[in-house]
Amino acid sequence: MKVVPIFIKSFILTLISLSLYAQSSIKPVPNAIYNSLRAELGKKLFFEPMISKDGTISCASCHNLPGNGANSIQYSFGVDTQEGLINTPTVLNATFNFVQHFNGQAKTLQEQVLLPITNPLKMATTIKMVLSKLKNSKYKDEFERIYLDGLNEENFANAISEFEKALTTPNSKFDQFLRGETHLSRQELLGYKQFKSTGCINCHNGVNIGGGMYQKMGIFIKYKEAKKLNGRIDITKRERDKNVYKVPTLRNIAITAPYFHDGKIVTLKQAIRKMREHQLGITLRSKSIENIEAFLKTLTGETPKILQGMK
Amino acid sequence: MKKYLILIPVLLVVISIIIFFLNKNMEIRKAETELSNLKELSYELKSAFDMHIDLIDNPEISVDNDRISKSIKTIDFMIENYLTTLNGLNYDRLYRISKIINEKKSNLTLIYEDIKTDKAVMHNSITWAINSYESYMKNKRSLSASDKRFMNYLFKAALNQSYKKMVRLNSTKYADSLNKHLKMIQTKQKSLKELKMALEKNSIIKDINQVILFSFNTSEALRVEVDALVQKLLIVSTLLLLFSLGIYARTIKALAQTTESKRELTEFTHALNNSAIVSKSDLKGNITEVNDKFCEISGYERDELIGKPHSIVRHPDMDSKVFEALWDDIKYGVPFQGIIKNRAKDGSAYYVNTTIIPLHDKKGKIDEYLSVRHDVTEFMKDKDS
Repeated sequence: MKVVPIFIKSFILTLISLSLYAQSSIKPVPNAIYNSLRAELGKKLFFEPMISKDGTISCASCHNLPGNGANSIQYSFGVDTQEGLINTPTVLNATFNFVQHFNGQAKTLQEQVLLPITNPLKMATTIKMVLSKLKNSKYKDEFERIYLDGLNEENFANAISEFEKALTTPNSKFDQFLRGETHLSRQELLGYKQFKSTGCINCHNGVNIGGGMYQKMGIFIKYKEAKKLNGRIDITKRERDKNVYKVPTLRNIAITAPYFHDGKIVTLKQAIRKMREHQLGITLRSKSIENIEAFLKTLTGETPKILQGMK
Repeated sequence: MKKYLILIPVLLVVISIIIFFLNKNMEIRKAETELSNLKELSYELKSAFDMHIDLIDNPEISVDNDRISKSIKTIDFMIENYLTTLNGLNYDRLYRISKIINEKKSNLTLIYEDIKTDKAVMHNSITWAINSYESYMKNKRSLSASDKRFMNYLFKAALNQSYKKMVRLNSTKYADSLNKHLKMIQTKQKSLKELKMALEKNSIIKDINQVILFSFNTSEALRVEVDALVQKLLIVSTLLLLFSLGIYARTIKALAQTTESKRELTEFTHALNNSAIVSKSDLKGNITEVNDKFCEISGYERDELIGKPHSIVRHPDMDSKVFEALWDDIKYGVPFQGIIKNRAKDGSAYYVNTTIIPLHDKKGKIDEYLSVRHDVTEFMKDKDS
């Protein structure tokens, strides 16, 4: 076989890599840092249906709060009962993502806030309309009290993004384990070890256990989506970004079903199996799938402080 | 005091030159400070960027995405600041470099993402290889196997040779997996190599070096400019000083001459006044000046004479035709000479040999007459008798 020398070369390089190889790690959720006055205003705006075109939906229509910060249906509905193109990602811990949106369209939370508002399938309105509506409401005074320059596009986005910064879920069982405050069960610990050894951790790491990079959906086996989407290629126009999406967070994964960007997968077990086939190119025994599932269930955190006391 | 007046304009010129120089010097100093700040900033960014690229490129911490994301944010912020500084300075070249850096910055953002993505996939396959190796070793019960044997194992397995005996796994599936992962490692290694090249190609170190070189050269040029300015100032000041000294010397000389002439004139006047009867008159013949001898011979006081016509001393014996002739001469600038009989205040007569010389003003026009007389009364009396 002619490929032999190349293989040998690649093995040598691999060995070098192996000797340097270091496991990446998961870090506990830090304390949320936010401006509470602004966040409280943002909270009101988050639940305000007035923002949408016909006054029927608010941010919270798709991002259930208090709850999983997403919803339990495959695709969310915008104004005029239009179905969206992508499964609603959770707003919980979104502040730890390196970019926002499935395709990284928004670099910051503040940029992201404005996207669903102008999306014709979601709120289907314009920023100008939103601002003029807010100007004729009680919000005008509130903005003027909190912001020096009162109500404008930037401050509107800032208030909501400040609220989103508060939406972190600390003290999950796993975080407590990382801090040495509690013990994991045998199965959970085994799951964590298998999570690392099978390679899940290569993409799902850091504070948010994901949300730190882009990755192709379907590395080894092509992934068939429920609704055809292009991924990051829409933004970068590069061929290699076809079917590339932001790696989502695994925090609160047990309560944010359905899974994947198309919301096709309903159970966590299925999601793990699919991931391992399409992304890792391996076969796992169902025993280890159960273990990993048990580990993922320890990632559900506390309700954010700003939401405590709400029903 | 007057002789120093000439130095004032020269001093003013010198002062204005010095002020101009100081002003220019200040501008240059300011530019130099800006450039040296830029240089400092450049070195800072350079080392930060180097560290950042090491982090991106380092296989050991390649998958610590939080750290990488943080580093990307920091370096982007630094580059953003750097570009603002570059555009804030008024140099075309720096503006062009800032444009290039900006372009590279957006390229780099994509490259970072691709490296993260590819490394994760590669590490995943490597993880698989490690796991397979470990399970193989367990099955073989030979933990002392060398890397060479590991390679041999993978190599043989990839070639689909006797893998059944080697690993007690589902044979065909295992070979497929092995091929799949090896191919993936190979592809990603190739891709990472390309990305590394792209990373080098889009490295902003070269551009920062250019900025450093530019600021170095520019400050050097500024220093040369300052030197040239100092030189020019010295030359101009020296020339001016020499020039003013020359003028000063000439003025002093002229002044000395004037003093000498004045002294001479005074002496002459003194001599004349002591030897002759002198008077001056205006164009109409009115007395404007008389000397003591005039007063003495005419018997009038000086006050009585000044402003009076010369006819005050006219003797009735004198024919008016003599005077007409006299006027005819002097009006045209011809000096008149003749003996004139005059009458003193007490009525006595005296003779004077009179010379009337018209005096000219600067333009050459007659503006007064000077009369110089010598007493010839004795002589005339002798002649008469």
